[in-house]
Amino acid sequence: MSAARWRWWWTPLFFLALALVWTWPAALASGEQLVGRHFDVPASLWFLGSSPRLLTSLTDPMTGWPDGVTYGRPDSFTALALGWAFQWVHPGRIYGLAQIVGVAATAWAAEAFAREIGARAPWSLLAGLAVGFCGLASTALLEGYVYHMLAPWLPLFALFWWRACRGGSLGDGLLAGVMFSLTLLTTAYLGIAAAVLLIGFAAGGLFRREVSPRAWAGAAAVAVPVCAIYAASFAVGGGEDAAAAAGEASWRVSTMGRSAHLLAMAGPTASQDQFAHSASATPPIATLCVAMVAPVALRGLARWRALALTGFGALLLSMGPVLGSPEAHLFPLPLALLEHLPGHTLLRFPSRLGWAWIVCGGALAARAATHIAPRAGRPTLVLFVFAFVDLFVIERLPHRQQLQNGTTPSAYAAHEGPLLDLFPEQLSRGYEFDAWVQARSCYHQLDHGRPIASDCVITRSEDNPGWQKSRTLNALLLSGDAAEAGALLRGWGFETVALRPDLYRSHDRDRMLAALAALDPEPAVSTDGGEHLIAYRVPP
Amino acid sequence: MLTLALASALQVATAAPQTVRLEVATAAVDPRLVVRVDAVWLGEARSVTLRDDGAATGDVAGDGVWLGELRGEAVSMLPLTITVERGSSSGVVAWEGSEPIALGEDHLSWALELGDTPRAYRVAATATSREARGREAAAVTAPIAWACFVLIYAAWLVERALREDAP
Repeated sequence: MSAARWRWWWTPLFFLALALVWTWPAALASGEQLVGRHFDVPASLWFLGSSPRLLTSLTDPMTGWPDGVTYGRPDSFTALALGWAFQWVHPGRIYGLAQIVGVAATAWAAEAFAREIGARAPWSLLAGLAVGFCGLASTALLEGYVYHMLAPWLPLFALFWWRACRGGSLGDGLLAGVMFSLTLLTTAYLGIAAAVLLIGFAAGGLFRREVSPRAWAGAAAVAVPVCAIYAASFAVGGGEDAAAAAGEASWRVSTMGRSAHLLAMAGPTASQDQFAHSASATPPIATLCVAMVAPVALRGLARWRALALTGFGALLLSMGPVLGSPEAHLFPLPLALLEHLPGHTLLRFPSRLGWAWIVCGGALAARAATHIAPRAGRPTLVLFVFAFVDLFVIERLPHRQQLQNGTTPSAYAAHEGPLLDLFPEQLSRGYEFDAWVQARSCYHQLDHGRPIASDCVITRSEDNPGWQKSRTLNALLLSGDAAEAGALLRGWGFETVALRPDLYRSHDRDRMLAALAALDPEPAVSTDGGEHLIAYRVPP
Repeated sequence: MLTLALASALQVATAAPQTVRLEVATAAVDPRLVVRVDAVWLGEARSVTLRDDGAATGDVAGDGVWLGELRGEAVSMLPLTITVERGSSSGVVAWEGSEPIALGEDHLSWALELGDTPRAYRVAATATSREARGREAAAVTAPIAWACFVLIYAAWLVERALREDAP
């Protein structure tokens, strides 16, 4: 297939069809069945579904009852806007469609960037396959951070900033600024990845003396005010800083597990899906290998070295602060320099900076393949077979994807007013259990619409007001002090307390049921929505 | 037609009963061993004795992997207790906790270490702990080997292209 015969609209169609298969069963996602493996799925759905409310004020009286919660550091402003724009659609469906469209759009944008630096179709598709369908993308889909896939802005920023650093126009600069802002507003990590591209391409432009001051001024005119507002919001937003709480001394060790270390890059294992939130940084292997030989293939040609060096730098940054294991630090990597900066502990997932190297590596590989193909002939087409092996055999999507029950228990609808969900404490993998039950508690609010006690963004159980109140109530009810429990509930303003008795050990369950029966002898009971729920009305 | 097919698939997925496959693997095969799993399924107490007699699909009798299954209406979180009995001794609780359950079909696996006090550990796939380590190692090394192969192929392509360029 030659570039001349390739129609431009084949590219988005190709990526859309492939995304439909790769993200399956996202096309079937709805309010009854949610697509994703981990607890961030219901949490993200709450975020999408609550966005019309959160956009009017980031201080939310409907969660963290009775005090409310200020979500000053929302994970993604883009997701907020998406949820607001499509508020007439169930968030479960938005979430599923966003997976398909996000993957396809990101791939298409990466393909466009590859064409910008000299690749030609169909070889430019290699860049789209690399970026839209990489290990970081599969992690986002499985773990539940769909907004990481709403990021065609990153490759588009690369495209316009590349132009701006190569004598581009004011329009190129303005568009680069817009794309940088959208990337930052999509997630902070993608914003940092864009900053790596910004520095690398700018250095290349300065070295070749091809920089366009007009374009740079245009980019700064848009991006600087947005960054300033974002930073101000971040600074006053408060919220948790778990890494800081854990102590700076542990930053190196804690970030190593969240970096693109050699094991994480080798391929996702069943254990990663089961116990590590499906977090893998598996690179698109075909692309990586072609990018590795690109310096030889493109020898003597111009306009690829800044791309290669920027990609290599981003890869090093994504590998975390040290090379080695928690027991033996072999030698520090460039990210270790951040330790001297205040607030460095906020950077908890260096592997996500890998988006920058995949954008560069994908474009570089596509350009190299474009250059090789006319000379090496048909064997070059095998690279597409390799890319498909990466997608379906190495990444193993859609095989690894799962469905979650999204139906809300009907007992929630028996009463009105603020409600408190009670949960036991589980010793084994307690963090996972707490996060699951709190996320589902938040998700159900989309349906019942009643104020709840949980903070729906915080991840540390001990800091979650819902977890704290549940713990206090559990202690009172287990001791049989129903009167004191009732008084406390009334004091907080709750009108319903919801119990999932199955999750308690049998002897605790009996005591909880006996104590709560004193509050409401005829509670509402339901077993739909995948949960056995008993809702007790708090007596006035 | 496509809409109908999607709607049909959607309906099937929603209406399908929940199946949870339970798998416990032991390294030491003990014919006196009895592995029982107790669950509370939407308020109803359930109990299943796992078997290693080859009756289940894909099971090999006496291989140390004990299988069982629970079915019912869709459940999101399942509290489970694994009790192990050996001979005439009374049952010992080897594991207890609650696990999130994927909609439709899910499987839960444990590795059981027998000793004075049997203990079970959640694992990702049915296997003894030694086998599980082997599988994990294979899952890591296979992509590395694949990368080496692809790199050699890419280098061969470049060499082929450069040969064409040579005068």
